[in-house]
This record gives sequence, C-alpha cells and structure tokens, in this order.
Amino acid sequence: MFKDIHPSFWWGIAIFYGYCMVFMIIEMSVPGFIYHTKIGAAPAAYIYSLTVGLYIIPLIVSFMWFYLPEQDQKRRAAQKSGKGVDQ
Amino acid sequence: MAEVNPIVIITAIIYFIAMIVIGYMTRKASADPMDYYVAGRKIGAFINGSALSATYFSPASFMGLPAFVFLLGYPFWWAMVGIIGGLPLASMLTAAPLRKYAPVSFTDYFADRYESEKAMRVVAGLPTILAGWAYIVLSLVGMGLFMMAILRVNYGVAVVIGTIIIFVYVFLGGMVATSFSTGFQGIIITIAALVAAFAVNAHYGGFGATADAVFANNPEFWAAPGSGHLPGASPGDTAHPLMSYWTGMVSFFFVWHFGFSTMPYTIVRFFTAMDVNSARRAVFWAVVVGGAMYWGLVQIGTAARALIESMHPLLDPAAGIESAEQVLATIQGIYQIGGVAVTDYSMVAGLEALGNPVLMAILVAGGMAIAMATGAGFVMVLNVLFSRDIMGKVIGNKWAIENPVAGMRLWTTIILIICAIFALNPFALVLDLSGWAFIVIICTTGVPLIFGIWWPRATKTAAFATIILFLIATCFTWLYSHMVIGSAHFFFWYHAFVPPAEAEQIIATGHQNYWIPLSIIFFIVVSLLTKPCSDETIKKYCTGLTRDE
Repeated sequence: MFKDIHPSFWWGIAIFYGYCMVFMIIEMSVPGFIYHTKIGAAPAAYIYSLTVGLYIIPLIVSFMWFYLPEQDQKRRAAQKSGKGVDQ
Repeated sequence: MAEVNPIVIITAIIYFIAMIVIGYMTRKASADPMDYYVAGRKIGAFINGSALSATYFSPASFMGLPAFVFLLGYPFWWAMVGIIGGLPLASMLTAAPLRKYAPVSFTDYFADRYESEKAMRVVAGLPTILAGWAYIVLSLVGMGLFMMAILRVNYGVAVVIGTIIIFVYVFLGGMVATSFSTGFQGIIITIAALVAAFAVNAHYGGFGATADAVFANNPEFWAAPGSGHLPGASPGDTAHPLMSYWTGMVSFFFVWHFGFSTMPYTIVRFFTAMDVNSARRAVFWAVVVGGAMYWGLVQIGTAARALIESMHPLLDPAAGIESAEQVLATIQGIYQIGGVAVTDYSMVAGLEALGNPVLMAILVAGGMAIAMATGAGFVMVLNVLFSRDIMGKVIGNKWAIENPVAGMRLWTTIILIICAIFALNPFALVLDLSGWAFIVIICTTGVPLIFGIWWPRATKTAAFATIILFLIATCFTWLYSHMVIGSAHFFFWYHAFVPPAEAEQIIATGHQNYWIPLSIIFFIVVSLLTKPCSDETIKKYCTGLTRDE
C-alpha cells in the first residue's frame, strides 16, 4: 500500500498535519491563546493559522511534491543516458 | 434597498460578454471529440491550476464558508486550513497517476481497474450523479443569489440568465471553453476575495484593529472548544454550540480535506493536463490561486458580524433590527427566497455595509465566476457520464457512439434544464447537501479510486460494496441528523448516548464525516477477504501508473 509513492509525500504529510495538530492542541489547552497571544498588534492566529497554516505550508508542500519528483526524473534520465554513453 | 451603482451593472455585463466570447472562440473544439471531452490534453499548468481552483471552490466556498466563519467563529478557520492543505494531496495521490493513465471519463478508471465494464460504470456513476445534481443546482442558486443581492435582479431572471450563459459556453466549446473560462474565473474570484479582505482591513486599520473590533462585538468568536478565553470564562463559551467540543473543530477540518483528490469535477481536470509533470504543477498553481482566495474569505467572514451590526443600512433599532441575524432575516424577507439559509448572505451583507460600489462590482464578478465555474465543471462530468458512458458504453446506443459531441450537447441541455428547474425553487436541503456531496464522494468513489491506484490488493468486490454501502450510510445518517436531531453536523447516534434534556456538550461531526475513516477500513478489510483482480489489470492500472520508469 502506497509502496511506490515518492518519499517526499510522507515528509509533506508530517509537516502539514504535525503543524496543524500542534496549534490545535495549544489553542484547546491554553485559555485565551487565540486572541490574547499577539504578534505586533494582531492575534498570532493571523500568522500561524491564517497565513502560515492556510497558505505558506500548502504552498511549500505542493511545490515540494512537483519539484522533487521532477528532479528524480531528471536524475534517472541523466543516469540512463550516461549508461548509454558508457556502453 | 439602495439603488444599484452603474459600475456594478457594467462590470456584470462585461463579465457575461467575456464568458460568451470564450465559448464562441473555442467552438472549433466540437470538431474533435477528444478536444470536447478533455481539451485535447493541451492545457498548461497555470491555466489548469487556476481552473482547478475555480472549479473546486463553489458558491458554498465563496458564500457558505465565510458564513460558517461568521456563525461558528474562529475554530472554523481550521476548516479553511484543512481545505487548502488538502489540495496538494492530489498531486501525489491522483493527479500524476491518472494523467499517466489518460482516461476520458471519471468512471473509466473504475471500469478498467475493477474489471467491470458496465456495472461499475453505473454504480460509480450513482454518487457522481447525485453529487453533480446537488452541486449544479447549488451553483445556479448561488449565482442567482449573487445577481439578486448585488444587481437587484429578480431571482428567477438571475437563475435563467446565469444558466443560459453557462449553457452557451459549455455547449459551444466543451472542455476547451470550460478550461479557459474557468481559468479566467479563478483569477477573478481570487482578486475579488483579496480586494474585499483588504477593504475590510483598511476600514478598521489593519489585522489587529479588525480583530479588536470583532472581539468587542463578540468575544466568543475567538474561543477554541473547551478553552474559554475571557477571565473566568467556563469551558464551552464558544461562538456556536457546534464548536463547544473538540470534535467540532477537528471534524470540520476534515470535511472537505480529501475532496480535491477525489471529486469528479477536479479529477477530470487532470485528464486535460499536457503531461504528468504539468498535472502536478497545476496543483501547485491551484494552491497559489485558491489559497490566496481563502486567505481573503476567512477575513471577510471574520469581520462580517461586526460590520453588519455597526453599519449596515438596514439596521433599525427602533424597528427591532439590531443583530446581524435580524438584518439578514430582513434581507431574506425582501428577496423572498425561503429555502436559503439566512447566514449565506452574511459576507455580501458585511461588505455591503462598507458602501463601496467598486467593491460590490468586483464581488459580483467574483461571485458569478465561482458559481459558473463549478456549475460548468460538473456539467462536463455529467454530460460525458450520461452520453459516452451510460448511453454509449453501458446501453450501447449507436447514435451516442457515432455522435459523441452531439450526445454531450444533448445532455448538457437536459442537465441544465433539470437543474435550473430545481434552482428556481430551491429548498434548504439543496444548499446543505453540498457538504454531504463531499462526504459521499470521498467515502464511495474516493476510497476505491485512491486505493485502486496505490494498493494492488484492492478488489472489485470491495469497490462495489464500499460504493453501495456508504452511499446508503452517508445519505441516511446525514438526513437523519438533519431532520431528527436538528443539524447535519450532530453525530447521528448522539441521542442514543445522551438524552436531549441532558445534552450539554454537543458532539459535532461535520457532515457525518466519521464515515471517511470507516469506509477506508471497510474497503481494506473486504479487499483482504476477497479475490484480487488479475495480474494484468494490477500491472496496467495500479503498479504501472505509480512506478516511475
């Protein structure tokens, strides 16, 4: 099951779910955390949830999931052509 | 209500003309069935990504999710994070393997992988048809609401105009027109959401000032389940009872999370990509476009109550109209659309309170764009399903086989007429069913799709059993919770454990989404107990799609 999936898949999964789970647990355990913890004048949730959780991490993961398989393809293609030259 | 500013009307007319022009320019697609079905598999990553985003996010996103934030408070922000965080999953799970397989219809993979050319097409088609019906009707209703609320057009006229425009461009250009129009719509929607969010923050003076205004208006907005946030506040002081227990926040995070990888109207967009890499890159662009849109929508939903309760023109304390709900009920009374949830107007009403005609012009374009994109996307899924799959491959109708484009055009007409009739008299369930449609698709066709690709042991029996059983289970429990317990988001068996009189903490399970893990477990167990597909099939439609050469 999922044996052939690119290894970066599991890294992306760990980053996204790990990040969300940590902040959800903090929010549900620390009274007042969401509104009273500020970065600048705004609640920190605008950064860790709205900006990083909603946008930055999905961007990084979706970039990683097309870029790394493409790099592997290029590497394999180079190896194949290299072998061809050697032979 | 106030008169409509000419800027708003001109913007709407330009938008309509642009859609019809795209349909006309792409009419040559009808010459080649492969162009009409899958845009000749020539759509680039950016256009496909923008189109993916616009197709996936329906009026339920543009109106409904800010309305959920308005109603349920901050904990629903995590649902929005879950939706965007679910998009990248598709690049690994379905986009690349399905593009490599290169099918034409959503049911092709099920028929090939599970070795059932006819029966599997019908069975996999059932939840697709139900979800498609709900989503097209929802899109037409959303479009009608936007035109009515912002352009002050009669609701029935608005639905008819919107349906005709979708019909024109889908009929003329098929998937080519749908791809380019939807790609264009994705940009418009995102600009609309971002401009509206900046307008809200500019009005208050930044994120901090907006958050403070929301806190002053309703402190409970910022409370997570069980934590409380005010000095002395007891656990459970949240904006809504659905968020009084952790299951609410976590379950809503997952309702829409796996949809992008499994929904028919997004899956078929991967068929149009130029190649495997382009399909993966399209997902990245979908996150760029869709994530920016959601970043804006969250902020609109957050500020909506404070805006409505401080400056909406319909506020009239002398007449007893003081709360946001009362303003929204007044608007609903003016428009006389009984079936639509009153909170669905909240984002429009919140922005209307700012009194900026340019903002409303951008909003009307964005609202109609998102409704048309989703409606057209699902029409393309269903017309291929009915004309090519059911008429052609299951029934063997000669006319449908020999005239593929004419068959799809016939079904485009039939589907849009039927859905427009439902949209003209919307009942509340139709709009709520959009969430159910996600759960039913993920649990029924979604599980056999993903496990069929990634697990050689996935069997035909498990696929049939999962689709049939979970279609019935999701439908029954959702309707039972909605009608008997009072909300589709309460765990359907809740009162078996807690009598209504003793209920203090409500167990929320957004749209009964516990069925997702249960359907996965069920599929795995039945697969392990039943006969696997042939080695040839597994090699061709499982390992052959996932192993890099």
